[in-house]
Amino acid sequence: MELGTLGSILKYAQELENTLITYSKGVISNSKEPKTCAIFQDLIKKHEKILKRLKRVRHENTTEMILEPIKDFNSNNYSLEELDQQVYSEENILQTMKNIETIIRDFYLIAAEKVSFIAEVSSILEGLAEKHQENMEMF
Amino acid sequence: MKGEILKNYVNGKWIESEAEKTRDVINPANGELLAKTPMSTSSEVNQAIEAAKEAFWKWRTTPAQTRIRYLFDFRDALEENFEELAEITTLEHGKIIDESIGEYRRTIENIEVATSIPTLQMGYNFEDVAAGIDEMLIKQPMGVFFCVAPFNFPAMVPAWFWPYAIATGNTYIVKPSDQCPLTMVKQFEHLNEIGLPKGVINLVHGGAEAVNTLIESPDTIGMSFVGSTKVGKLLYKKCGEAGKRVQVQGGAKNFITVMPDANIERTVPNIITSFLGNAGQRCLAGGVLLVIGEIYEPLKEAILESAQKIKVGDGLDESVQMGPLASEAGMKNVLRFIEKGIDEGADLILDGRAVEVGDKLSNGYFIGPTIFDKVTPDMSIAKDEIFGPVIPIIKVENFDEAIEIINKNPYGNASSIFTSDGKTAREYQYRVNAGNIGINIGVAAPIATFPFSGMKDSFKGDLHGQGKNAVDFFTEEKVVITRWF
Repeated sequence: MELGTLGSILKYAQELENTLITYSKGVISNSKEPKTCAIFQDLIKKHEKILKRLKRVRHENTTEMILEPIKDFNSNNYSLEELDQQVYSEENILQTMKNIETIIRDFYLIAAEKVSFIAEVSSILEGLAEKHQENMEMF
Repeated sequence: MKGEILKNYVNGKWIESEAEKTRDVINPANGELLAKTPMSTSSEVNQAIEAAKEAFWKWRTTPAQTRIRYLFDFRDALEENFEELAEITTLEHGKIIDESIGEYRRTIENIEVATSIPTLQMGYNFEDVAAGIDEMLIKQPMGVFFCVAPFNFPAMVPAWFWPYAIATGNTYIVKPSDQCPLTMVKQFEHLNEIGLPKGVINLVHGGAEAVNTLIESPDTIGMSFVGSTKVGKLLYKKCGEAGKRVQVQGGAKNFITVMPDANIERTVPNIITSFLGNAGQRCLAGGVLLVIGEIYEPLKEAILESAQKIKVGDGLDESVQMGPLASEAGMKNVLRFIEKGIDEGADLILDGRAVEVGDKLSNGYFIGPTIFDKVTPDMSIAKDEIFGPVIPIIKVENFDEAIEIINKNPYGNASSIFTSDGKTAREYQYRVNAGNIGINIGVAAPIATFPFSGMKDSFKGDLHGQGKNAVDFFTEEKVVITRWF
C-alpha cells in the first residue's frame, strides 16, 4: 500500500510493532529456556510502550493536516509477511528477529525522512529506528 | 445503530424523542443510512431548559476547582476512546481519519483551556477607592446557555463553548448538527459516565422549532451559533429581540495572497491543505487564490500537479487524502458553482467532477480537487462561499489591488499571505479586514487560548468562542463597593 499520509505511516508502524510483539509471544509459548522467555518478555513490554507512543504521536500531531502527498513510500518494501515467523528453533529465532528488526529499523529511518516537515514526529521516528538498531545488535 | 432514532439527553438521562419528524443521518462516502435525528418538539426542548434551570443554582455554588475536575475526567475519556470517536466523526461527516483526529485534538485543547477557569474567571479589586472604601469586580455565571452547532466540525465547535460555560458555573444545552449528530451523541455517552450533576449539560436534537424554542424561552441567557451567514443573521436578530447574549460565527470567503517572493515549495502544501482539507468545508478554508506577479505560472503549475495527485475516497481508508462532501445538498451546491464558473468564463483546468472513487462508493458525494484559472473578482466563484474543494485563481497586478479585492468582499473570517518579506506581511495584517490572519500559514486556526475571531458578515456579536472571550461571554461582571462601619 502507498503510504501517502502521516496517518497511514504511523498506522503501518503500529502494524509492524504488533507483528514483532506477536512473534515474541510465539517464542515465549514455544520456548523452554527461561532466559529466552525473559528476553522476549522485556521486548514485549518495550514494544507495547512503543505502540502506545505511536498512537499518541498520531493523536497529538495531526493538528496540521498535511495533504501534500508523501511520495514513493510503499509498505510492500517493509513487509514482514514473508519472514518465517512460525518456526521457533533457536537458530530461526535469531535470524527472524534480526530480519524483523532490520526491516522495522529501515522503515523508521525512511519514514523519518518522509515526514521531515513535522520535526517532532521525524525525531521520534529516528529514535525508534535507534531502538530497533539496538535490538538488532542484541540479537 | 443503523436507522435508530437518536435520543435526547436531558437531566442526566437518555430520553426517546416524541418527535414525529426525523432527518436521515447518512454516510456521505456511500449513501448508507446511519441513524435518524429527531426534530424535537418545543415541549421537549422546554424540558431540557427546565432541567438546566433547576440544576443552575447548585452548580453555580459548586467550587470552581470541583467543577473543572469533571472536565479533566472528560478529557481523559476522550483520550482513552480517541480512535473510536474519530472514526464516528469520519463515518457521518466524511472527512479523512487524520482530519477527525486533528479535530479531536482541538476539541481536547478547548477542554484543557477551560480547566484554567479558576484563574481565567478571577476578577480584580482595589482598596481605598475612597477613605475606607474598597471596590472589586467579580465575574459571575448567569444561567442557561445553548449552542447551535454546525455539521463541518461536529466534535470541535461545541467545545468552543460548552466547556467554558459549565466551568464558569452555567448550565448548558447542546443542539448538535442534525446532519452530523452522532459525534456529540458519542461524546455525551462519555459525559454521562463521568457523572456530572443532572441537568448541568443536556443535548437536544432538532431543527428550526428547537432553535426557536431555545431563543424565545425567558429562561435562557445566550446563544452560540456557527453556520451560514444567512441563517446566522436571522438568529442574531431574533436573539437581539429576545434580549439574549449572542455570538454568531457565519460564512466565509477567505483570500490567500501569494507574493512574488513566496517560497513555492513551502507554499504549495499549505495552499493544498487550506483549499482541499475537509473537502473545502471549513470556515477557514482558502476561498480564492490571489497571485501577484511572475510567480503566477510556476505556482499554478505546482498547485495543479499536487492537486492531481490527491487520492479521493472513503475517509476511513488510511491511504485516502480527501473525503466526500458531507451531504448530497452540499455536493450539488458545489457542482452548481463549478457550472457557474464555466458559464462566467473561468478556465477549468482541473475538473473534480471527473473523480474516480470506484464502484463501492458510487453513491457517495464525491467531488475531486477542482481548479479554475483566469478568474476575475466579479465572478460568483470569486465572491461567494462555495464550501467545497475548488481553487479559483486570480492573477493580480500588485499588493494594493489584492487588499482592495479582499476588503470589498462582505466576508471577513480569514486571510493569509505567503511572502518572504516582513514589511509586506506587516502591511497585510494591518490593512486586511479579516479576523484570523495567516502569515505563511494556509489555515489560520487560532488555538484554544485565543478567540476564534471573525469580522463583517463572518461574525455577529462582540465576543468570540474559545479562550478568554468565552469566559467573558459566559459571565457577567459585577462591581462591588464595600465599606464597613
